[in-house]
Amino acid sequence: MSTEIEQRLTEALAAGADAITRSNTSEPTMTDWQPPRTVDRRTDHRRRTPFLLVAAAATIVGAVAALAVFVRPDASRPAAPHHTSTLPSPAPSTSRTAAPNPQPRVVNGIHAPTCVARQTDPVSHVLKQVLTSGVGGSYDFAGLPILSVTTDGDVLAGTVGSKFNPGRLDLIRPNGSRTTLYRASDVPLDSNQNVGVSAAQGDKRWIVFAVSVMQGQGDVVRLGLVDRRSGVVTVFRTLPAFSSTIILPPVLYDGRPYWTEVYSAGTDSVFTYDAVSRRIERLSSGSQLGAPAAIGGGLYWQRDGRVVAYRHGTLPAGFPSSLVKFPPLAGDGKTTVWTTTADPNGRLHVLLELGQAGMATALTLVDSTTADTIVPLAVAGPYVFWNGGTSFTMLDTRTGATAKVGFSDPFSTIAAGGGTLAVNQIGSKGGARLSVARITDLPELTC
Amino acid sequence: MSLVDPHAPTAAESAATGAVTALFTAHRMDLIRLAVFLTDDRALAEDLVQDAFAALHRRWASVREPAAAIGYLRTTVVNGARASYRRKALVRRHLRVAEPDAGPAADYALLLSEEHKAVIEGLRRLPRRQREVLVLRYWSGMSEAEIAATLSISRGTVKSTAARGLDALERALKEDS
Repeated sequence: MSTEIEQRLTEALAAGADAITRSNTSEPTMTDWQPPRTVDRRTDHRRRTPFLLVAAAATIVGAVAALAVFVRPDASRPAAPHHTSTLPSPAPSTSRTAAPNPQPRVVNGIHAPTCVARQTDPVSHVLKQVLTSGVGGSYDFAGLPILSVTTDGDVLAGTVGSKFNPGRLDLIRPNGSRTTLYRASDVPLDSNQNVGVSAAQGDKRWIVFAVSVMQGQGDVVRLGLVDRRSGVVTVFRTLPAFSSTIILPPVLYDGRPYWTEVYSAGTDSVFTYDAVSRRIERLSSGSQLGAPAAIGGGLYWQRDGRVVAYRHGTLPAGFPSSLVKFPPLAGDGKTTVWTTTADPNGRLHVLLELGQAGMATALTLVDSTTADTIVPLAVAGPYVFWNGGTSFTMLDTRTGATAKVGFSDPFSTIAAGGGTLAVNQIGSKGGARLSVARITDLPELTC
Repeated sequence: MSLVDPHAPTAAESAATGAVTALFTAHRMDLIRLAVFLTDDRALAEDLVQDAFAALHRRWASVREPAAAIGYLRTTVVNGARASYRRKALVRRHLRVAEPDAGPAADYALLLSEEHKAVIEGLRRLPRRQREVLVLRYWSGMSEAEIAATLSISRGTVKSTAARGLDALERALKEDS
């Protein structure tokens, strides 16, 4: 005989299951199941519709997950059935359908990888050197991941904390001095919730940051701006925790924050905040707006799968222009690297491309058919860093020489800006070591 | 000259596809509900269920008893939910970027009564093992032996974990009321 609590639990689970069925996702339209040849997993969860099963190799799943969105013209549309006899339609896609080879190996004096450098792990070597040289340093800031490096070379790092020890935003100078810019003590929390600074970008004058409350997943609940001259912090956008509104990570462009808000009602908006007038301005509204991105000196976002230029810069040749959201990318304002896919003859290629103003075509740095994850990490002077899934790689574009960087924890990070290279190494027990070096100290890689 | 498609499925592959298709049609939604109860995340739940079916399809040749396939799927979903739990814990410790695009569907809470909402919320706050046992017992309707096999624990542990979970849930509901 069941007790009262058992009965209540059984009823609540039945009601919960019913609500899951009726909530705002739809049933698959297919009546049959067939394994397609490529993984098609969307990353736009906010209006997610069930997608079809895939039976591609398990090793492909994680790698392609981040990239598969490129081959979808509209993430809000229910997935169409796939069939083994025909490949998923690549139409309105920027993924290449022709074979990517042969590719030029040098464009405008920039070299794609051609050889393995004689130097072994030059980043770790330099980081060891800076410990004794006094230029840069290595600091044991446990649990202090890098968010970015400002345009003048200071490191922005954020922590996640509890109700009693809230997360914060710290600025770390290359000499190791650390300043806490903001502490998320103004965010109301339950005892089982965590709060932290989850994104930040800065220039010489301003730093924009996002605060997230985490219980299961993170929701951005605050956007703030730090005036580095006065030290004044202004929280200019506040949401209740677990609001149905979603704020995408903000960017700082030309001294102002820009961000996209996604509403469950279906119309999204892009905003900017003017610190002088203390006003928020709505710049664009639409049904499918992506997060703004500063690329090639301009500011862009995506609307209904097409790139919209708010301020024109120079989009590199070959940069995807008809995606649902921008691909993973990194850049220094002059050079941009990004990932994309190609599917010649039905075989998936994962590509890492480099583009600059004035280049007629993008330069393919990596063309992988093993579906390894490729995540662009940083462009620092002549160096390009990326995470190849099992290792971090650096390329010297002056020579085409590559070297492995001696750590590969997926939560380790490399960021660069203002002539500073910052490396966050996650230890096996969860500790983090932040190391900072000048990019000019890195050696020219030669074969 | 006859044309042969080298990518054409073999007879064994066709049989696997047909069998998994039938399981998919019959059990997909229930498995998604199970995964949502364990992860609070509809999108992640769909991923876990998708991965479970994909894994089953790959291993179909080694499945001796097709009737046991649903147990295999449940276990894969539970293990996937555990892995995602560990990943989230790590991300929280070393948060690099916001993950704003997940969580229960926006209208999920609206579709539940206050009473049911309180119970579901109480369930969410339980330790992972207790939550798993209670969901498998009271949602999936599994026996103690089946839960023990799914979670790779003893029947005694299932029994004690369920009892402790129910006690904790009852206490939490009394405190909230």
